[in-house]
Amino acid sequence: MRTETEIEMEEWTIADLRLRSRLIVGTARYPSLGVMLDALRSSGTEMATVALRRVRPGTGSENLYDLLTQQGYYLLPNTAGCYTVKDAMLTAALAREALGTSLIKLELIADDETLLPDVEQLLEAARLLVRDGFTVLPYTNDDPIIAQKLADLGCAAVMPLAAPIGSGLGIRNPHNLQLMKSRVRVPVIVDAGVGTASDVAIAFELGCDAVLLNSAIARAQDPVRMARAIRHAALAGRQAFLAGRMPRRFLADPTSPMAGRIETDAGGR
Amino acid sequence: MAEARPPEAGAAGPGEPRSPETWVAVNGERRPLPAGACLLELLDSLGITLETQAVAVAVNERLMRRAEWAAHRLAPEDRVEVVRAIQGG
Repeated sequence: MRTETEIEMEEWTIADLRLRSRLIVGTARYPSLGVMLDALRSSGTEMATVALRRVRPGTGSENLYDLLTQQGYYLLPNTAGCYTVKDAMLTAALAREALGTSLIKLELIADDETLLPDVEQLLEAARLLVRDGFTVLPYTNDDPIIAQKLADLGCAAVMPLAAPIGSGLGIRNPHNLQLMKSRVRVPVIVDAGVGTASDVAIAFELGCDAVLLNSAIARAQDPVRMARAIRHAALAGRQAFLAGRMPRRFLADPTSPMAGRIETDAGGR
Repeated sequence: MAEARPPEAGAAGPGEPRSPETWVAVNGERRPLPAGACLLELLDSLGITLETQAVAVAVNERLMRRAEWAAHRLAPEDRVEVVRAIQGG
């Protein structure tokens, strides 16, 4: 059955991949795999992120790849936990081989408290991965200059953080995101730090093309309900953006006309 | 192939092979290396076969494609990484 949501969210593309949902959802930190699958479905997403880690003996039976691909999700592998260009390059190569996708969410982290990106290494790794034929989605900070450099290098999108990964602090620098969107010619996907539905709506109202989130859903009290709320928030924010908001004013501007008001002997002005 | 190196003093812990010529590192852990073993045999000990989906392997930081698994002979002190997709953001 076609719902209003499906009719109203217009298609967008990452490189040559066409998507209708503007949410990309992470698969970590859910109370259970069952809740994860229900939340992904509730969000309406078509793409889920995964990490690449060492196989442990005796864990052959659990297969996230099967669970997700059977449900028809695109997979977006990440280079989470990579601190060097070399780590990221090898992780990306392993991901492409394991999952059969050239998509890579490039994370190159400077320190493990803030998880902020190391932009020097990020630019170097992005250049090399683009050269090697990957579809690079770099997790970056909210600096429009760095985003422009990443786009110029050939990244398929740029993914600025709203706030530190897992912080749930929401969009800390909306002005920079607007500057970024006004300059780069690839999709701007807000990635990291989103905390709740209103953060998602704001991201879209700023003109961003999509939002990637994990903790906001997985760590909510009710992840499935939050995923549904965020699905609606994405739609609301995107529609508000396309509608073109009213201008902001420093002072009031009355909505009812002043002309034709009654007078009394109290001397109404 | 790997260069021959003199054994490092104290490099092997209790219960591990004492001579460096007889081990490979698999996901960071030393395992005995049977003479002439190929990568596919090593992967079998992790429950991985050519039919196993969604895994990838690197030897000495070089990606090893599935087509190479049976033919690639391991050398002493080779470092093997075997990975799969797990939950992540």
